[in-house]
Amino acid sequence: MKPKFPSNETAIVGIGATEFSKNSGRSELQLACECIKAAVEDAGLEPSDVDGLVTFTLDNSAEIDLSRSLGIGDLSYFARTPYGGGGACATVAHAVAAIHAGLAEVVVCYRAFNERSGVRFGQPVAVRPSSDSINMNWATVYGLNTAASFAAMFARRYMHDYGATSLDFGAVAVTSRKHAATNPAAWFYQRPITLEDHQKSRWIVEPLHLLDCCQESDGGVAIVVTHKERARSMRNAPAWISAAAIGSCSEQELMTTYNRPDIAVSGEMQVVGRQLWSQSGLRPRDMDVAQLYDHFTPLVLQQLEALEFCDIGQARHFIADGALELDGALPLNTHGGQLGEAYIHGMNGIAEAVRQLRGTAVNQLADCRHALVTAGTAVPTSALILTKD
Amino acid sequence: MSLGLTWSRALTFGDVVQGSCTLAAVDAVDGAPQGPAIDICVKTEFHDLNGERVAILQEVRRFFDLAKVKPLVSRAAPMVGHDNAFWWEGVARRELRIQQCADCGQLRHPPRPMCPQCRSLHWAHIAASGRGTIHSYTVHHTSLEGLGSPYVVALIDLEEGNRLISNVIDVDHREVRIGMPVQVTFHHVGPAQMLPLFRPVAAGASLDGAAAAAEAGTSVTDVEVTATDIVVGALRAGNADPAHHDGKAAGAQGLRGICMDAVTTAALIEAQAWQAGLDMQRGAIDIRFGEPIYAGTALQLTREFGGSHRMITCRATSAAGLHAQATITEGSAP
Repeated sequence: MKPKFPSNETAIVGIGATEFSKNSGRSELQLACECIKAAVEDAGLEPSDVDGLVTFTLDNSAEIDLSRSLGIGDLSYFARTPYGGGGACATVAHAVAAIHAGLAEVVVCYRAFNERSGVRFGQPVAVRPSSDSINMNWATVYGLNTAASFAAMFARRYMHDYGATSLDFGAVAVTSRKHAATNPAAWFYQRPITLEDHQKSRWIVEPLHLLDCCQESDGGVAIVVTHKERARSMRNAPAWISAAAIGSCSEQELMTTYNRPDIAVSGEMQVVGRQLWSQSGLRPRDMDVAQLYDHFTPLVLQQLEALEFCDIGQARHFIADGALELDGALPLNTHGGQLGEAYIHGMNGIAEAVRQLRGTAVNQLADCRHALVTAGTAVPTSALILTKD
Repeated sequence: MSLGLTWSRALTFGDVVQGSCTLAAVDAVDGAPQGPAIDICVKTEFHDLNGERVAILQEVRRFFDLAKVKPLVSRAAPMVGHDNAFWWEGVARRELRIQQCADCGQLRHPPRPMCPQCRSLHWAHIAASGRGTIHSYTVHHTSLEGLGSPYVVALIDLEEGNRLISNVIDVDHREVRIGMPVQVTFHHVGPAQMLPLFRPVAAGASLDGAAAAAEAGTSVTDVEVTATDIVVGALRAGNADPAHHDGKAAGAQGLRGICMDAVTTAALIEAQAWQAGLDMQRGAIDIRFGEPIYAGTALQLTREFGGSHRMITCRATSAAGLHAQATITEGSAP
């Protein structure tokens, strides 16, 4: 039998970020240093307290270079999560595992990049041969070669199977941008959109409009994780890690999992969802806020279904009933999400969940005890449930 | 560039024909996938000595603001390795293959080294029928090497039970539907690159490969283009541009050598209509040009009937890609 997850035995005790921009004007290593320093200070710690670092395989700032820049000194743990934005919450799962196994005490999870001014993930890129790039080649030789195009294929089938329309996808974009509009840290601060704006925006790949796709950003976010005893003695209210799950499904491919019989359902998020509810002992109705990875709006609908907030194919009705509004049953992306605040590969969603639990968010909810955070889907994914005392 | 030629009557021996050109339109094009452009339309009316109109030639040339041109989306080159070489060898033979476990017989795609059902490392393959239906699809408004813009990518559910990704061609992107029956067709999409693509089949049709092609009136003619063809063709068309007879001057224009002029290319294509038995008196041809045709090009002229036997589409392709594509309609023009 699988050992029990150490629910609420570790906590996020520090968050830090750079500003979010389209051109940071400095190196990715500097962005990483800045956000980690901010997160450590937020926790009331010194960089020398850190003994573990976790980031994405895609991140360009090496752990050892950060140690030397920040004056961290000795490190006893480092690990990286694959599959791009799908690994956001997996960084925290690694931190939990390392702390629980006694490999480290204070682990910082970070992601910092010049994704807009440097190498952009929205563009087709040359790849070196590996098992997953060879597999993706079956798509790229046919001009299906961007993240948006991979997502569009799932979206078209979803529309066909369940009668969803572009307007249903647009509702997600409007919500994220509405919440970004009142967040001074968001790139789209004071710039809400209407459904009409969404419908008029140009095609990226049909059936996806420009405003179905998240922006591209420069910036960094860091998260500090430690164990229960240490967390209790720190200055911030701990955001307890009630669940931390990673998952890929049968027939999973990097972003072209088209060989499952049913491609209108997010198989990887179903795998993660089952673990979340089992690890935490909580249910969807217990969630007070959801920071769902909104790289492409149709995939938010799929996540709501895979996580059992509604039945498969019914997310459009759930959204139409106002569930995602700040006063709804499941307020969505209260910082503006990847669509509205910034595309920091989902790490900014974790930071926002912590702020909601601390009571320091700009769009603060009245009573927020349990927060759900997800990472990117259509790729192998991950998610967290955070809880306050 | 595109040409539209509409005949008002057939030419006969002894006809003396005069043409007069007018600048018909200059249009700014904002939505072109490659970037902003200007379309210049030149209309030439041909009259005989009695003043009777013989034909109208409408020519549209597109000029891009070179500083703002978006490049074509180039296709990724196939990544051929131990596990999938058999599949690409099949493509070279115009055969759509599906990997099959040599022990338990399970079909699998995309290829992988081990059978997920019985863990065997031995595999063979079958030749797929090439028939399938569209499971999902995307429409891209960028321009793809070998297909242009817009182009369609689809998941094809093969009748053998496997699913693969491909392009759907020979159909307006607005007509593509989930569930649409499609049939494989092998196309050159770039220099030395052939791919299995799919085209819609009429509902209820149950024909396989060659039979379907014959039934649909598809024919393929191979033409080896020589330097003489190019030079004589240009002279016959009265085209003195050195790009068609002087290799060095052609090089200075950024060409790889002398290339066939547009009128000769159009004539090659239009000959397909006569051979298909279309009555081209008062017919119309609408032709779009792609890759230049150089000396030594092994040209493949493919013609097939469209919705009726009064209309054909014709493509001139080679290993270098698509050179020209035309829609030719018989005698309905005014």
